[in-house]
Amino acid sequence: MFHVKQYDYDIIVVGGGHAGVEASLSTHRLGLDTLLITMSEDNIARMSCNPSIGGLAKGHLVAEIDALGGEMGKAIDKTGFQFKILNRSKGKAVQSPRAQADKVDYSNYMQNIIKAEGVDILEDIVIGVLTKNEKITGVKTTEHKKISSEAVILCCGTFLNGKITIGQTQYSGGRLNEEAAKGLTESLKDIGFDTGRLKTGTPARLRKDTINLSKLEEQHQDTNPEPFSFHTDRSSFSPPDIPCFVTRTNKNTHNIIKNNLNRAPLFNGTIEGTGPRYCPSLEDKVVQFSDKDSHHVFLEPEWKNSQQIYANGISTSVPIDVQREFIHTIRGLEKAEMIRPGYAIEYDFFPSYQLYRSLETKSIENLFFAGQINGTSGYEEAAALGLWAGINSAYKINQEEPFILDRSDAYIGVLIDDLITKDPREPYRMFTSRAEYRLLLRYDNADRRLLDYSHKIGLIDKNYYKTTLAKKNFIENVIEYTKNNYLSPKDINPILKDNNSSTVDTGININKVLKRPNINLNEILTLLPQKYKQKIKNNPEYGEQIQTDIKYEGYIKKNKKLIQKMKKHENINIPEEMDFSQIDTLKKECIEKLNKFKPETLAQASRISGITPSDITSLMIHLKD
Amino acid sequence: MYNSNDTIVARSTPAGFGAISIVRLSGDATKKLIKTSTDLDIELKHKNIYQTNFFDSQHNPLDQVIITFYQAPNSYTGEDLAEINCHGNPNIVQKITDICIENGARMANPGEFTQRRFFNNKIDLTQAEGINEFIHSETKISQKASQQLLQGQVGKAIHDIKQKIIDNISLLELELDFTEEEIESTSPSQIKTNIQDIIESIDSLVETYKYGKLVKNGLQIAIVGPPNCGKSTLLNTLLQEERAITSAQPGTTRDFIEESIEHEGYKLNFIDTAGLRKPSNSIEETGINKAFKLIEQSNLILFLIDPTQSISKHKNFDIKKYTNTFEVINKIDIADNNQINHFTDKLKLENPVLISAKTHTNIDKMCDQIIKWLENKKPSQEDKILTVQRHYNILKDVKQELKDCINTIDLGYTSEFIVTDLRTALDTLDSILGKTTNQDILNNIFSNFCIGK
Repeated sequence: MFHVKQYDYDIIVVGGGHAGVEASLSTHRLGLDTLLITMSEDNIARMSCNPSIGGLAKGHLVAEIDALGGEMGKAIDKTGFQFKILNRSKGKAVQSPRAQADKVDYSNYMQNIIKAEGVDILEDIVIGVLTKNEKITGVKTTEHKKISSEAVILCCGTFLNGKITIGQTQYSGGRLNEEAAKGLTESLKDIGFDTGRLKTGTPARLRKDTINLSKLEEQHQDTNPEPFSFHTDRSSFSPPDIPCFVTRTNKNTHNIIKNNLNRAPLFNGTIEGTGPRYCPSLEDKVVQFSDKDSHHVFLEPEWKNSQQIYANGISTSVPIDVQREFIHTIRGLEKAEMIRPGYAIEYDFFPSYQLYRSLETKSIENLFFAGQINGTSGYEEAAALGLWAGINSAYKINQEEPFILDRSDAYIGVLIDDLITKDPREPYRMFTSRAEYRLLLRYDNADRRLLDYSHKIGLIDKNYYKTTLAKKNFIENVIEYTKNNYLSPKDINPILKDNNSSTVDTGININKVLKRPNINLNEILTLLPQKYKQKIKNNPEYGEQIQTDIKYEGYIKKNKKLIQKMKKHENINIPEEMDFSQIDTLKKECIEKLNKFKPETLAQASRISGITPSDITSLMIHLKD
Repeated sequence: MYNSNDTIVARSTPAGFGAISIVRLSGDATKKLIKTSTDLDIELKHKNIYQTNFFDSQHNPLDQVIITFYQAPNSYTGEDLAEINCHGNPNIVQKITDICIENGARMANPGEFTQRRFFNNKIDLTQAEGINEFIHSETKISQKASQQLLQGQVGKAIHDIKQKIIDNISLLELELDFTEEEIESTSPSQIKTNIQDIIESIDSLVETYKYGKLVKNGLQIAIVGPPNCGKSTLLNTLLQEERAITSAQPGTTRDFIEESIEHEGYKLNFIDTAGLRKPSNSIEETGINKAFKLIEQSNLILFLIDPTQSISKHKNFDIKKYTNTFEVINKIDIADNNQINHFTDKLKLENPVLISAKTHTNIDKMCDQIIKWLENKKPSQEDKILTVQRHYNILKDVKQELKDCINTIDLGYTSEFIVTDLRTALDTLDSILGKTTNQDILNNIFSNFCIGK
């Protein structure tokens, strides 16, 4: 595509964290001239907190990022260790992959990719955005002053007016020993953006050779580790298995916290923001759940052969001497030395009701927000938002309709929809329970269910498309075959007997047999035609997906029924210029909420908290009037 | 048949006493009808609100009302439409409706406002269904009224049911989303017990609807008996003795006269059926068949016995066939005791009420007996009585979905499937109370359990 060169760049991405990486890679790969501005090249794709990728629901996000053509899944497969599938005792829909990350290798991998693919990188600090007629025209930096671009994606993480707290000590910073970004928030506030403040925290890092590991339980990876990425070759995938260790806090630990609450910033008024409830500090846990006298602590290496151990479960911001004292009460950590203390960080964010579903801001055209500045937490959420903003900014420049996924399409769709319809009180983290249609949204079928979308976007290569399409068709064909074919009692009864399932007198439909709780595809595999049998043997994950699709069909139908109900309202658009105060049947609070969130569809409106069905009826009637 | 030239009128708030009631008027004659009965002598404007007197046919002020006018095509129906807010007395509501009818409006059929909306191309059929899903052919105003109702005890009972469903979803989600935490999972059998408890709560609430419906809509009482046993006289007497809610007005089936009175705060709808006898022609046969149909639909069958006629004339109605027969012997002013006893024996009557419609004897006593019958049906918790049919229907659906959930547990499926059923039930219940977001469920988890590594 040829542009008349009106700007220095098509797109400027501000920030090189997990959002910035996916954003800049995707716009660059879609053929747009992209500049990534970061404070330091070395900090690209740094993991500021836990050394792991994935986990429940987050693993789903990584699979979707991968299926849409993002980089995160490939990066962790190449650099991670101790790969696991969580929730194995449950059904496939709520299982999710997780791996320990080598923080150094991961960051290096991303830096190399960005450089190798030719994204322009600039080390500088952005202190403001440039606009003309409510449209973005570029950014202002400390070193290079003004750089112009057609679109800007802000991915500044926790760096906006970041403030770190340890005990009574407070200083400005984006991460420990890294500068905060100042001026940008103010520049956006001047344009009229609402900002809020969030808090999060991180635990101390401990020196491995001062920990008595022999006392502690080890955690290992699965016997047959599975990769995150659909691009990774499964048969040759064998990541290193480096163990984590488990220990626990005890009454003494908790007493030390209790005795020092007057020095705890979260309780003595030093920190005003509330942190995420799903990731509470140890002092929060001790105070709120005083009936529990012990909590797990997971000791996780931050990279392969790392001396630096992440003490997962004891995030804190109490003074350093208190941290040292309580850590020493924990089994195995009696003599542990801190490399870095735990700390709390407060930072500015921009509530996402100011964004369209595309993550473009409602007030400034071609300005996009992605990552932690949208009020999320987690590398995976950030990466998903970065990819989304990247794709949509490219679409916008190419004058195409925004790329949208619904709540029923993907976890990413749930993420976006939740962000723009909720008023965040704490950093947003993905959970499977946030996805009401989660039976459809498995991590293992993300490639199939998103294939049409990813093909259209064009971040995936031809070969991937071809093989995934073949896989999709194969799975569908086998399922169709099971619906139309029967097994004779002679063939099936021995298998049924072996598996404590009641035998049959006449031929039985294969699909029906597979719906029985204790009959799996592998048991009847020999009874399938050769062309199916062989392929399933070579690709055991195909068999597993066929089985899952068949077994859960009834419940998936229920999900689909609810989706249809939702879609009816999803397709009713609310015009942007709609004046809700003109609807006389709406309550005042309701009008205020609608004016604040400016929902794009009736379905979005229904998901804003406090909006009742009768409000929606009134709104619907008004829309038709 | 649908006739677009009619102007239709109907009460659009639930029947009964309340702070305000709303009568809706839609059609070409709306403006004219309003002008005739109020002191508004100006051109009504779209979405304007008018305070005015409403006059009866003799031009006596009936009530102070507030009228909202919607100009065609920008109204709910797409026609000129007025909403008359009057004081919530059924008597006033009925009179306003009657006056509109006197002046040329027609009683609206159920759902006719929405039907007109459809025919006036305001919505297509799927959207009409969409609206219907929400409001179940009640109007948006009655939807509001039902929301108000939900502030009270019934609302609390429904909220309790919802909270219990959310609690169980939370227990299961906890196990699914926080598997790495030290959370003790709840056994499926415990969840099953919890759900059975919820079903019981729903059952007891649903059960109250039988009574709630009677109170809300009034008790339907079919007066049956042989020709000339005094059915019409009884009806007239009732209207003179008691506070009449309606004036004579043909029922929807036209062959019957329906009159409503209020007795001891209850609404009683008496329906005068065709005399029951062997039909002499096909027209009469149709009438009698309709009478029997009406008998089937009534809450109470008032079997009026005329002891001055022969027993055989009373045999066209098998009083022992129905359990809700209320036996009344009429004409005690002219019948002697022997005749009365003879009938009591032969027809195996149990404690018949003895009245004379003509001399107004024992009419009050009869009504008292009817109320007594009704009050026997009153649930123990008087303040928790379901009165809105939509709520009743939804709760019944929720119950079915919870039963599906128990089935899922019995089949040995894991938590995410049990949750799918519970969420379906919650979604259905939400159409009464408003959407439960996933955030609500997470909030419930965070406030009750220690989460977080």
